[in-house]
Order: sequence, then C-alpha cells, then structure tokens
Amino acid sequence: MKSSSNKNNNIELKISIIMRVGVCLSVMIMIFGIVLLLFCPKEYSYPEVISIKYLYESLIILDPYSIILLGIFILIITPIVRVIASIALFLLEKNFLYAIITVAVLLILIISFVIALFIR
Amino acid sequence: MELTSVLFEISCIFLVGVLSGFLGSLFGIGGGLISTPIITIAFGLDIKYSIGASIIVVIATSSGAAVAYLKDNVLNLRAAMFLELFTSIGGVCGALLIGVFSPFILYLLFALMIIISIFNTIKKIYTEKNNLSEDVSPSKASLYLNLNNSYYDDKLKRYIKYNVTNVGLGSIIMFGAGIASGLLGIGSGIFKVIALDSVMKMPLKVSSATSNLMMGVTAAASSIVYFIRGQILPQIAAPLSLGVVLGALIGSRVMPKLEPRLIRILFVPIMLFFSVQMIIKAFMGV
Repeated sequence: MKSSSNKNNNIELKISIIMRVGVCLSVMIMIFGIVLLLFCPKEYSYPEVISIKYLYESLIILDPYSIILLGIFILIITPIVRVIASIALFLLEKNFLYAIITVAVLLILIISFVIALFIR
Repeated sequence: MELTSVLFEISCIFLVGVLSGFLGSLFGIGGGLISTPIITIAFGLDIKYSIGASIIVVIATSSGAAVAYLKDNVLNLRAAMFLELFTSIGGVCGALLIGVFSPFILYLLFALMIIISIFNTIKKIYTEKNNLSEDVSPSKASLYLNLNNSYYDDKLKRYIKYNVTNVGLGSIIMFGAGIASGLLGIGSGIFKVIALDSVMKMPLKVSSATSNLMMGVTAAASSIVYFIRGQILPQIAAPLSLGVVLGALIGSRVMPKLEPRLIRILFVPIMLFFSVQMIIKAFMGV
C-alpha cells in the first residue's frame, strides 16, 4: 500500500505545480491589466460577445479590460487543464481505472459546455 | 471616473473577495453565496453579471485552495474525480431541466436540507469526541475504487488513515448537488461537504478540500459560456478573484491547523446565512 500512496502523492504534486502556474499567470496578468486601467482610465465597452477575434484585436492595442479578461480566462481554464493533466498523469502511472474516469469527466464537461452554449 | 473612487471600489471588491475565498476554502464551499449578496446589494449589479462574478469566485476559491491542499494530501483526488462524474452529469441534467421545475419549491427544498444539516452538525459538535475517522470500515466500493487514503493532520501532527463508505449514496447526493448547480446556478459546495463528511464518513478536513477541488471543475465548464457571452465584468471579476485567491491561499493554510470541531462550530452560522438566502430567493422568484 505504501508504494501506491507514494505514486499518488507524486501525481498530486505535479498537478499542484500546474495549478500554481495557472493561478500565478492569471493573477499577474489581471494585476497588470488593473494597473494599466488605473493609469489610463477608460469606460468598459460591454461587448455582446467575447470572441477570439475580439480578444485578439483588443489585446493588440493593449486594451486594459481585455488584458484583465485574458487573465480571467486563464483562471477559468486552469481547472480544465488540471483535469487533462490528471488524465496524462494517471496514464503514466498506469492507473487506467482513473484515467478512464477522468476522461469521462472531461467529456461530460465538454458536453455541458456545448449544451450551455446552444440551448440557453 | 475619478481615480480615488475607482481605487476605493476596487479595494472594497477585493476585500469581499478575500472574505469569500477565506471562508470558501475553510469550509469547502464556493464562496459565491458569500460574495454574491454583498456585491449585488452594494453595487446593484444586474443578475447576469452577479452570476458571472459568482462563478469566477467559485473557480478562484477552488484553484487558490488546491495549490495548498494538493501538496498536503488533504485532498482525495480519486474521490474528487470519481464523484465529479456524478456531479457533472447532474449539472447537465440540471441545466436541461431549467423551466421544468419551479425554482420556488427547489429553493425551499434546499433551505430545508441545509437546516436539517445544521441540526446534524450541531449534534456532531456535541457528540463527536475525537473527531477521528479511524474507526470507519471501508466499503467494498471504496476498496475497489481505491478511495481510502491517509492525510497528514497538521493539528495532531500525524498521519491519519481513513476509510470511506456509502459510496453509492454519496454518488447519488453528488448527482443531486450537480442538478442543483445546473438548475439554480449555485456552487452546491455545501451539499458536497455534507455528502463527503456525513454520508461517506470522510474526515471533515479532507471533505472540505475535496469539495473545493470538485467545485472548480464543475464551475469551469459553465463559466466559459458566461465569459463568451460577456457576462463577466472585468472591473468586478478581477479584483474579486484576486481577493478570493488571496483569501483561499490563507484559508487553505489555516484550515488544516484547526480542530474539526471548531470548523463545524464556525460553519453553523454560515449554513444559517445560506438557508436564509435560499428562502429569500424562493420568495423573490430569483
């Protein structure tokens, strides 16, 4: 039992690094955006849809709101990246039961995202 | 847009975030039910922006706390992933069932469930002597799924082995929590903790940390939709989530050091606050 608990600690350690990177990155970008906003105050444009195109165009001109939104986006996808990384790590540790369980979770998340996008 | 008033607003939102993140990571709840009423009342925010902000709070609490929890193994990753199956399926069902069930009944039902667990928690405060879950025997399901684990209790300064039981019932409750999330847009962290702690007999600290992790995953999927629809306001969500991350980092360090009894005692007023909110929401039709 000791070896399997060591293996699991290993997975968890690696995943925590991914979480840290995601959270740090997101926080730094959000702070940068807020500081930029404080120095060059603007009104928010309340876009109807935030598409990749919108983000790209407004990030290029260093729109502080878009920079903040980028930071928020990274925060949002961090748990999802974590789930994907868990799958890879479970596979590496040959824990096929949990690799499959985590893949199933990911699939359900994708389905719920698609449903939310098109049905509501 | 005067600079000092903007700074003041941002700081206020930041502090609300710190409170939400701290309490959220302490109790294994999302923190959304703490920040939303404050932000909505203080800033008169439109409901769709409030929900957007609330979802970000849940994710920020989850990610901020996970950083500390994963390291200490207070988290049961396998339990989180296995039960997440049921929660996310519930979330899909819940979202599909919008409009079928009357929110009035549902909010009252949840208020009732929370009130029942308040009594349960108070009972535990008085009767649970050691708060050690070492005398739970594992169920066959928990053995097969390898859910039983050990964690390092920071207060008792030793590893505590624990076993998990009632996996089936726990999964059903997680499914229900998922439906609540999908239907009503709440984090349901409180129901997750109840399922893990009372039903599956997981130690309170592990339940709290595991619930936190699960909530981030569930919230992430729906939050992308809110993000794309522009329902997440950067000027609110950013200071809020920065505060939440800080609060969660602090809370997740503090939580392992506390006696579970103390955590339960502190949890009761929070649960009361939530059940009152549910009742108000029921009658306001919101």
